[in-house]
Amino acid sequence: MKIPIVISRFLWILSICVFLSCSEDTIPYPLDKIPLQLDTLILYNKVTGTSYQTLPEMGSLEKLYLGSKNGFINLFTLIQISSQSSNTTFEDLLKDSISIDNVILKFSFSVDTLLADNPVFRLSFFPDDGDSIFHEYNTNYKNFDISNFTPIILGETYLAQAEPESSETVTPELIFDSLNVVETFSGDTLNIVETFSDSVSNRTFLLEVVGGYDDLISFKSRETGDGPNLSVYYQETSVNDSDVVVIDTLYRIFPAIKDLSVLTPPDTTTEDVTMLAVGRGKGLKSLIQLNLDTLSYLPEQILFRSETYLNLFYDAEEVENFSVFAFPLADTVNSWDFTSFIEKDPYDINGNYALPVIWDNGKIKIRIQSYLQYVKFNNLTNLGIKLYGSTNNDPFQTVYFYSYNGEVNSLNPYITVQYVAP
Amino acid sequence: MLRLKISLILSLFLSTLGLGQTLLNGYGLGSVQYTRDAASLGISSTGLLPSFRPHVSVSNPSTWRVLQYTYLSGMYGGHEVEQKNNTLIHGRSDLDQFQLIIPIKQKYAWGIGINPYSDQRISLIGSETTTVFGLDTLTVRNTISGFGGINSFNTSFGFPISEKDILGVTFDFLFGSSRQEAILTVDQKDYIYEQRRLYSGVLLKIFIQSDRLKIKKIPIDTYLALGFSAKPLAIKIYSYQPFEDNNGSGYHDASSINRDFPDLASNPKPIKTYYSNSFHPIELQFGLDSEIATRLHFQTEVAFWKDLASFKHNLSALHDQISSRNQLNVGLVKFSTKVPHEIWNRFHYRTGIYIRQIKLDYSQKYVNQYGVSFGIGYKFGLANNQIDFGFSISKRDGLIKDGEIIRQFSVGLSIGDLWFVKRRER
Repeated sequence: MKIPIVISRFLWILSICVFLSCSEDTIPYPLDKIPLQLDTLILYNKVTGTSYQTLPEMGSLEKLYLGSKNGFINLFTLIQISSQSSNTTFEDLLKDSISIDNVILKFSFSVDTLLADNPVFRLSFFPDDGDSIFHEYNTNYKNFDISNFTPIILGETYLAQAEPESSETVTPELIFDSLNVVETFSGDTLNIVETFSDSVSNRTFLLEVVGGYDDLISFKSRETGDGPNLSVYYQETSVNDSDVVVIDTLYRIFPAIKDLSVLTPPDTTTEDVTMLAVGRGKGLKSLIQLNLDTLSYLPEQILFRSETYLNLFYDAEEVENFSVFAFPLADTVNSWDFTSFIEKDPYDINGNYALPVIWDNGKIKIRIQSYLQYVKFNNLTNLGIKLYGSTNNDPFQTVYFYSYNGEVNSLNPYITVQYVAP
Repeated sequence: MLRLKISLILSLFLSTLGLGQTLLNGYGLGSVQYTRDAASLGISSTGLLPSFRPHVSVSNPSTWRVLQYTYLSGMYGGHEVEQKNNTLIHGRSDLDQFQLIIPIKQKYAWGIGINPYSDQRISLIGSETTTVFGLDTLTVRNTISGFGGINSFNTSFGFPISEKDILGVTFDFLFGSSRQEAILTVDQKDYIYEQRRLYSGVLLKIFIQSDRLKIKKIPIDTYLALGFSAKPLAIKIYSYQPFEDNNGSGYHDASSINRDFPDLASNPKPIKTYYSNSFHPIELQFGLDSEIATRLHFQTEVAFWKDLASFKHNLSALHDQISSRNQLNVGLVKFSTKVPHEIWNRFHYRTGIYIRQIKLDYSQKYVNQYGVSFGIGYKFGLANNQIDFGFSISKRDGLIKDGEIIRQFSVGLSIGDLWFVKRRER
């Protein structure tokens, strides 16, 4: 065998053997100092803020309310019914082949048991008041005056609960039936289906408690998927291919497309003005101002850890089932004084940077890791943080947080920062 | 022959895929290669002394002119470091040198080559500790990783300056890049900080070979080398924003699940830092070679190396750097016969011992290394091709408790060809 061939084969074998024999283990070594260090910082007296008050925001809640609680007085509830059920409109139900048997409006109660003192509920509608009565998100007690409308009473009834067939739970319901033909006080008769078939019909009902109620009553709103609905039961006559007359008993369900409880909030209190308050029924939200001058002294390539929080103590023994949202402000705050009854909320948020809120035994911890980081990067301007309540909260509950008022206090808000930096 | 050359090139490229590390890679600019060729490894020399052939060292251009053929040399080597205290073994193998040597009319010589200069590959992990931060108790672990290093593209010249003295000059154009990654793990979450470094610089080394010295009529070849930086090494550092590796990928990516923080799109540009005088070595080597018996040479060498840079910047993984390095080595070489008839006369036989001391700058620690080496070379072919093997084993104390055992090998293949031959006119 020629030597060059031997050598070439040797080289191939050698390279493969050596390649396979290479190893790279991590060496344990006392690394007490590496180019990345962990540190922490607590900032006191750097957090101020104010509450502000808009009109009550009762739209998009999961409940419709009647009655009164905590100084709130529910005037009434408005519901607008859809013009269609699947592909069937009210106009479709006016055909000669259709005979309406019954029209029922149903509300599902939000708890499983009947009220001890079963109040009387009154239903009205607005056949002569144009194509729109209310706006789900903008209508409130300030801009809605019932005297500008001419509602017609359809009927009154009580809550009822059917007998369960087995161990199932049956929710009490408020049912207004026999609505297909209504006799007004003036003696006229109105056909609900005919009225709602008009293209300019508002298809709106008003529900109220007769004589008021000293406690709170709630029904499921359309947001739950089990909200108010109008059911039309009818018979349709047709002739089949064998010339036999067939009568089908059918029904259509028209769901609510808008529903809103109109309430009057109680008067503004000292806490509303001096603390950071959050509550939908009162329309209370809060703006928080952070003094971040210290950031300029921190390392340039700082990385904030998730354990970087804005800590706010709340003024209550216990808070349950209450969620607060925190987002960076998208606009400059013109005034850091309490302002009330602003028509439209002027403070938009930057929705790209949701700040998680954690409830922690007497305080909330708002994770401001991303806020501080992107302010440091100059991707975000330090305009402040907006706090507001979730639509799932009890709208009649207001939670108050302590703000810094210039005095040293163990309940003042503070910032804890954990970071790593080269 | 073509197949052999192709095999050589391909196998050497394959071999560069190997990875490896040693603790010295974490000091300063990494561990610098002391010996580049297999023949010098066999006698524990730095490359100053003639171990390749009589009066020839592949790494000393002042010795090249006596070569009859143009040589293309490739050196492939590796080493294995065994840490006695925790029995860890780390190895590496890659291309040590690739060189073309062209002797011109047996009077001058020119060569070009490429070889790794320093190695910064390292992977260190610290122990897990518990730290109290305010009301939080955190478990913390540090990890350092380094990749890459510095390479050298060199060109050398050799020419006589007198009847008895030959001068050699080598320019080492240093280039390369490395990446250092520091990982701080806090409660199982990794925070990663990366730096990339680009290197450039020029080293100059002057060799002098002289046969003026005689002791009791025994000629002693003397070798001297003086090295310094013609252009101190400059480092451009790109420091990237640290990030929280939430998806555990090890990279700052924009995965939609467990997204890394901060957002990759929002990351600021890396901070660029420039150091113009970060490595300024000076070295002096002196060696003697004497033929004490037929084809048997006794060789000794002493080498001094020092970094003169005002290196106050803490750039290395282990926050220290090598400030000086001194070595003494003694070797014996039995060269092959010029025209060997028997196969055993085709071999060169080499052995050597060495002592090396390294001093670290910040810790003022001394690291001592003692070793012994062996090697053989085999000549073949009409053009005096040669294959060399070198092996060294040494003990190193001072870096870690209980010391390290280092095993090093090198294989060199030098293929000769006849260039610059005046053709007879027909």
